Amino acid sequence: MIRRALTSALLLTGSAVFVLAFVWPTIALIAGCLAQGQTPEGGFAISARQWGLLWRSGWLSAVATVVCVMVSLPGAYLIGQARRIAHQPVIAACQFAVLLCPPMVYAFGWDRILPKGFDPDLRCIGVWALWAWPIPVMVIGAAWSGSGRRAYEAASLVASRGSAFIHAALPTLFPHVALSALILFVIFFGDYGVPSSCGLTVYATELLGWASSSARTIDVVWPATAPTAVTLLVLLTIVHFWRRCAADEPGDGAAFTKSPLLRLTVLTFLMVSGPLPMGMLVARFASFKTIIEAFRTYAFDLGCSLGVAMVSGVAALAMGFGVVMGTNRWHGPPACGTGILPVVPQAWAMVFGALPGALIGEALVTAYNRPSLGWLYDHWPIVALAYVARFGWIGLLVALLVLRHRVGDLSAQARTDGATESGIFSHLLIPMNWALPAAGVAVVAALSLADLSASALVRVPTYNPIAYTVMDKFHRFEDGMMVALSLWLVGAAILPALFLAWALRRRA
Amino acid sequence: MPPRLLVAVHPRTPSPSPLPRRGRGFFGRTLRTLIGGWLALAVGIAGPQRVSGQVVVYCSVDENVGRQVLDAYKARTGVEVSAIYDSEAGKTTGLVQRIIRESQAGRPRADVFWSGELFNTILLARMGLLEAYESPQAADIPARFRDREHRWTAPAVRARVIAFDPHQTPDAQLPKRWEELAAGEFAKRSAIANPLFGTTRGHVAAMFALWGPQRARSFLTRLRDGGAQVVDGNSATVRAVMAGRAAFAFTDTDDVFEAKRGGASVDLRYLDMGGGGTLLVPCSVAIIHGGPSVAASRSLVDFLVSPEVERMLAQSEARFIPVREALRRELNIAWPPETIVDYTAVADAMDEADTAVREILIR
Repeated sequence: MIRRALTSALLLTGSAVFVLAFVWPTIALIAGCLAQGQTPEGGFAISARQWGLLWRSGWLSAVATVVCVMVSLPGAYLIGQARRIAHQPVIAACQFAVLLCPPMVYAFGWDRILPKGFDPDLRCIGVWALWAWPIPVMVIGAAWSGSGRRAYEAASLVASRGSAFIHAALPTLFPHVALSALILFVIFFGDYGVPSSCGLTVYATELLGWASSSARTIDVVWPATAPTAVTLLVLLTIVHFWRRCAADEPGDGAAFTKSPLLRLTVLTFLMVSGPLPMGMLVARFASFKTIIEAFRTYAFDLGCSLGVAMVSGVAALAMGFGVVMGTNRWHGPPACGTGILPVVPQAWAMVFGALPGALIGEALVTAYNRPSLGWLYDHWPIVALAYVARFGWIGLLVALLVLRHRVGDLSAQARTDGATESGIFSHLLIPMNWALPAAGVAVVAALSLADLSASALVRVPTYNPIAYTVMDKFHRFEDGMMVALSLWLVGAAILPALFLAWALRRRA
Repeated sequence: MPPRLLVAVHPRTPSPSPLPRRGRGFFGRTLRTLIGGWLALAVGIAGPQRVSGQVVVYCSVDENVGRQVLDAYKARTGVEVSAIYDSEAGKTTGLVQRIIRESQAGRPRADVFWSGELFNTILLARMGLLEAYESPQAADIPARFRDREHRWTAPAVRARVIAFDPHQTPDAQLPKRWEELAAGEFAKRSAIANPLFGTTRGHVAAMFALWGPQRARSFLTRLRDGGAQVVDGNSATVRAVMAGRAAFAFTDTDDVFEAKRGGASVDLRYLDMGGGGTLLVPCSVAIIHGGPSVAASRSLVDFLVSPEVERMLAQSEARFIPVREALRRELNIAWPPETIVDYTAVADAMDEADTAVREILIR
């Protein structure tokens, strides 16, 4: 009974979040453009500089995505091979911690390690890839842990386990690899923190500048169309390939095999991605006094930032499940695999994922900057809505991945036994795929914590998102404080991650 | 929910033992914890609504300096101060647009605007978005740093300078005038922040006001043709010098002082903009028209324009220069070589300068 109520509450909350984060801002944005009825300040022509920045953003993001997915494969294999993320608690916690530290801090750390004239483009790609690789690790690893192993086990009889993973298992995991690539591309394409830290100007930098410097909606909407088109193109390409892929084979409970060499490889990656650049900064700039001072000064902002990021992660997942379960196909006969993707609300959330952060911020301001909505506009929920609007599509994709398992034998058996769809969801799908929503919440929370563009226009007086403080410290050359704040973020990330891993392990 | 469902379908259930119930408990507890945490957060953060005596500041003065000053005010008066600081991307312009949009929507959220520059404040005053208030604390501020209609006051200034690495660029190789930076050999080694934002925007507008459109446009054209780098902020120009990607950075004094404090090998040079000096950019303080807390905002403005705060700004890491002569004497701070400009004329020239920047430099 409680579970059924919770499932209904999840659906209702998700639907409400969907309306608040996607529907109303879209209506407000369109109405704003129509009401103004003017041309953008810079005209409709796209300048050579804009094309140049778009090209730079595109190729940097694409290369970084490929590098990041490749770097993540050993980690994904290890996490998946463990069958449950809980069997690798330290590695899982370290990955979460790497992700939670704002990436511009790593950029600055690498600046100290690499020679002075090192190419900023390569540094940007390296920082992105080494910061974000836990995302594909979590997504691919979680999928690998829940998928079947028959083909993999058969291949491993004639080849090494690594080779079997790449040649036999990875093709069956293509939807998850594609999902990871999509997440990474969108993140990199919309990020301006890392390029800025590397001395690069990208399209997102200028777009946010335009959004901040104009009170007219059209001045943001028009320049945002080009990057939106690029992202939509990537999105459609990946969805096209995704739909052609076969569904995962169901889990068969293959045994967990330990691999010390692989674990060493992943730990080495972890060392290079997080502790090495951070260590350089800590060794040079951090002091106990600064660390204490950082906590004294920014404890409230740190706590609020972490809290709002976590709330956003949960809300994004709730929205994802709410939207997918709220569509009529959920209640009818089981749809086949990803066939439910074209449903309007889901496509709506996906399109929002393709929008640049600045445009999402603009949409929220247009929607909620009203005298009657001060209760929302003045407080943290609008920041959380900005995060959900920007990263909610991740929650949606995670929900789709989890709910596609409802067509399996176990779900059919449960239906035969009289189970309702919500019962299957709460008793079967979530317990079986717990790692994937957990990874989704973690990813959305981490991205929210590092976000600088979607929330730039919707900042509230009640707290200052810590990403802005870290960025400000970077720009103000306060390296010690920047490192201290990052250490607090990493510390704050490791403890709950370890606790979660411990809890999952106990449950296992 | 029939219990046998759990037994039948749970793949990890070896027998109808307590395991499914344990799993259900874990699921339920986790969801309850999440919902509880969410509610607690909602009550904890959003709960305390605006109370009387609370004041909201939009602040584009550096966060560390601004926080220090606002904390001092809070400690003295007990009035709760909430601040939104500028972001590196939008800088002052971002907060100004926010003020405009909120005023247009009929509900200004901010009480006080404390800006790191003056030109945008003048534009806000012209739009009728600032409240007139003659602070008794500002009586000893020179007249040219106060609005005749008392809509803004401008205590403490920074100067526009070039930053350079003294180990890489000896004194003899430094330009002496701003216009020289557009020459080929200097331009290709220069970095300038996007002139549509921040103090660089005011700097370019000042060129239009002082030099006239033709000369200013020629400067921008030669800068572009010479290959000057356009980066996304003043501090980014200094970092370009620190990293060796540029030899000269168009920036403000505070960026150079803060970089030096961080151990960077950089120094500054005042270049001649006309009349032997450089552009000085004052901070500004103003009350937002129609803001929620009129009394509290006046009290805060009195504090922000007081000699005490100007002293704090001068002694901060940013090393602002007081406009009060007595304070400069007391702190032994020299007034930098200055090009006298009419700040309202600079504000007038901003639109024209923006258009030229879009057509020439950012195209």
